[in-house]
Amino acid sequence: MILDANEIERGRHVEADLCIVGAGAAGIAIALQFEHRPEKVLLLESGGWKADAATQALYEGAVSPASAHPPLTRYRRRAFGGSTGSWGGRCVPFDPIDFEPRDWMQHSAWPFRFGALLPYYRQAAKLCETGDFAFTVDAAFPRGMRAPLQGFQGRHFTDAQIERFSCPTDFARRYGGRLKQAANITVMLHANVVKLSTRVDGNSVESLQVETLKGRHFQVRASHFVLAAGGLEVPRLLLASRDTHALGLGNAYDQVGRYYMTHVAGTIGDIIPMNGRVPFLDYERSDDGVYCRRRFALTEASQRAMGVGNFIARLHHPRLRDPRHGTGTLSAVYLAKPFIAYEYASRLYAGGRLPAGGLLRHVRNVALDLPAVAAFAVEWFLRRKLAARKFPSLVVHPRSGVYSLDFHAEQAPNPESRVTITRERDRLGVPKLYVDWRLCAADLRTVRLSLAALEADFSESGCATLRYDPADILDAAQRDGAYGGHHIGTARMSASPREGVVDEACRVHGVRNLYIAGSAVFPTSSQANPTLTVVAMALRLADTLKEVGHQDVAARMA
Amino acid sequence: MRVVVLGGSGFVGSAIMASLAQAGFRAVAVSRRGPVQCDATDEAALMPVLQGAQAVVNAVLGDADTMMAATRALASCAEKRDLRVVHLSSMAVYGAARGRVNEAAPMGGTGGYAEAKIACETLLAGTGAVILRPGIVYGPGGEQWAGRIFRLLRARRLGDLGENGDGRCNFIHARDVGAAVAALLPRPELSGLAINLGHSCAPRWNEVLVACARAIGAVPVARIAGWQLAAETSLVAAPVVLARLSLPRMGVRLPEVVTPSMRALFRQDFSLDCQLADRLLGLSRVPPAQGLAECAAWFLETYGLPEEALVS
Repeated sequence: MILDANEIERGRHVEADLCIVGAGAAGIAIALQFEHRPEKVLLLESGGWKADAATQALYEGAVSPASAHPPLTRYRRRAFGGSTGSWGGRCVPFDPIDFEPRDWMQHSAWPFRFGALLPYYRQAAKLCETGDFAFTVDAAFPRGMRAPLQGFQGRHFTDAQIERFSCPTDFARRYGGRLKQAANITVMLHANVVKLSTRVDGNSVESLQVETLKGRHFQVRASHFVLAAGGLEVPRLLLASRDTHALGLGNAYDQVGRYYMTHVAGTIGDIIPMNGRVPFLDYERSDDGVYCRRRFALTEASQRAMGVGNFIARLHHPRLRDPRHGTGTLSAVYLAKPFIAYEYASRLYAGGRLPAGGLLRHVRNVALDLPAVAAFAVEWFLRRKLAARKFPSLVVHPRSGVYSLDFHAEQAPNPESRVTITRERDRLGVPKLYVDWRLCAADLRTVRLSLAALEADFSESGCATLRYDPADILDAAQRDGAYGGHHIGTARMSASPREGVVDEACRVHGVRNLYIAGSAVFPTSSQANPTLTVVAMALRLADTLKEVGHQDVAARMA
Repeated sequence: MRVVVLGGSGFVGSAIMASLAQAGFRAVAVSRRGPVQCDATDEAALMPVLQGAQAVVNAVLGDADTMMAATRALASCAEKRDLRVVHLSSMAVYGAARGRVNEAAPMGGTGGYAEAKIACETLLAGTGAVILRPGIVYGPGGEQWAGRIFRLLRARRLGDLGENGDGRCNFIHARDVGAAVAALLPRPELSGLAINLGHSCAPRWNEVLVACARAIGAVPVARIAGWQLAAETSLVAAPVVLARLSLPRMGVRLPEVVTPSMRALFRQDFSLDCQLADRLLGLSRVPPAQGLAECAAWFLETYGLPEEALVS
């Protein structure tokens, strides 16, 4: 059932066997695993069905550097469904190497290997509506798939990997009906958790303090609690809960909020395919109906040999802002800027200033290319606006024949890159966040060496030339900055509380009944967008919770 | 044992005939079209057909009136003779139930078909007849749950239905229904029972529809938006159904429809509890992958390959 926290009678306690904080991809994925089971599950959500400004403002905080990290109210959605209400849908798993200890990257190992997560990845792909767990050309396209650049043969990179796209699925709209029907599951909207209260001994959570923006206040008691509020709110809640732990929950060794990673991403350089060949930028649909696209991935062997982090790149249309691309469709999208959501616009329109007379040249591009612009508008309406499975992104061939390169690189875990709380408080009295995101030399080195290797692969196989100024790398990385919406590592898994916040089972070190779901627990960031792995890890946690729930019932009987 | 199968030339009826023959019963198919012709709704006509039979299986399908009249006639004949009766009912009797449903669940089905099935069961209550309640009966040759679904998938009018396809598909192969009938006929101690027939772990409709589409090469599988499905069931279905009723024998081939009841079924999250069938009959079921492959082969054989495949 779905309730509103404002309807809870004053002074009442709410009780459950399992209480999940945050109804986003992770929280909803866990709750769904308890459909038709005996456990009573309570899923607390700060927002309502739709995002509203007052709730979203609870995210406010400070960031450093403000030029390179988006404001904390952006790329996050504090509403039922969480940020799946606005995500792009790209689904990619972490690679096996991401789980292994890498001696060239400090703090790099996960407590288990890729194989342990694989069964959950398969289920996660279904929940994210991205079809089969098949991420190579051979596995997903037995009848073959077109190559982005004909004749590409890489020593360092492979173009045999694909990314798959979700609808993109809004988890609230897609699964809200099922949660509503499940008799043992209660979704409570407009319920803001402001603090976790521990028992006197500090070894377990007794209750959550919940407040609504309309002034209701009540407690939630449960046998087990899961924080699934995202990679930034999770450390915030842990740090703000200081009843028995002076530094906050799970923070005896000052680990909560450290190792904060996003991804280093940017668009750089000019790519000119050889012999005027037209590269293939488009998506292809796999048999199960999912949009897929090939990408250039740095192989595991090359990562080892070069001692760098994970890295992928894609061909991209040239930057929209520069009218020299001479392409009506790109100029039209540029001119549509006021109508594009911030989260997409910041990346789409980045890149220097509009040259003098630029606006006029964009208008001229559109005027000279009207039939193509009109055809594009129709396609976009049919395949994007009207379709339930949406065409993932803009695919436009520039008239100039010059493309650019989109890259997405791993950030190494760095304890100095961190999230803390400040003395300022939000409307409900919760301390605000201060995000101190650090881009370190090792991260830039990954990008620098990978780009050089890709350039070599392109020229050696004679498929294209990639021209870029190595001095631009820092610019590109800082201009696009911390990749929006990827908040990783702030409550990482570790064997000991001296090196992280949760154990292998995602249980907070030293707190018997508190678990964490979401990208906060990832020890490393990979090249991959985090959502698919967030859901896979949530499903793994759900299995753990079913097991402990079972033990609880058995103990109660005895 | 001599067994009469009413409706024995229909899709389910012929599967029952095959199973009975295989199990060594002397089975006779009775239907309006033969081989033994008889109007099963007419008690006077039915009585002589049942002469010498020890058991009768009621697999008569038709509109509500036909099914009820046939059951009434059968109940009356069975009372006058000492006949074991096996009656094919349907999971439709459970109506809009949710969750796991066993045979003790109330019969709350509404709508013509479900109400007729409930009425038939009521007519047979206390007669000692065994009631079978199968789910979706499918198999090669099954136009309703194989041919129709395949055609709609090929036309991209069905596909992955998203939130509208999360219901459970309680399917059962026609051969398994036949095997269940053959298994319970020699068991007089089971008289008066109602037994669900399905798989204990029913998959969601979306999984089934995607697998079906892939099996006949209707790929990439379409994603059907909610508005599209709503349009199918409200705008397309009504006129076609109306046309079907008003011009029944004009030889016009009307398009397939996604009916409102199909749409409701695709959403209905309920699964048949089949423990009773497992325990009493020890059924081994046709594996779903094999059943699907059989159906796809039948469909492609009967209706041809998709146009794209023919072109390339």
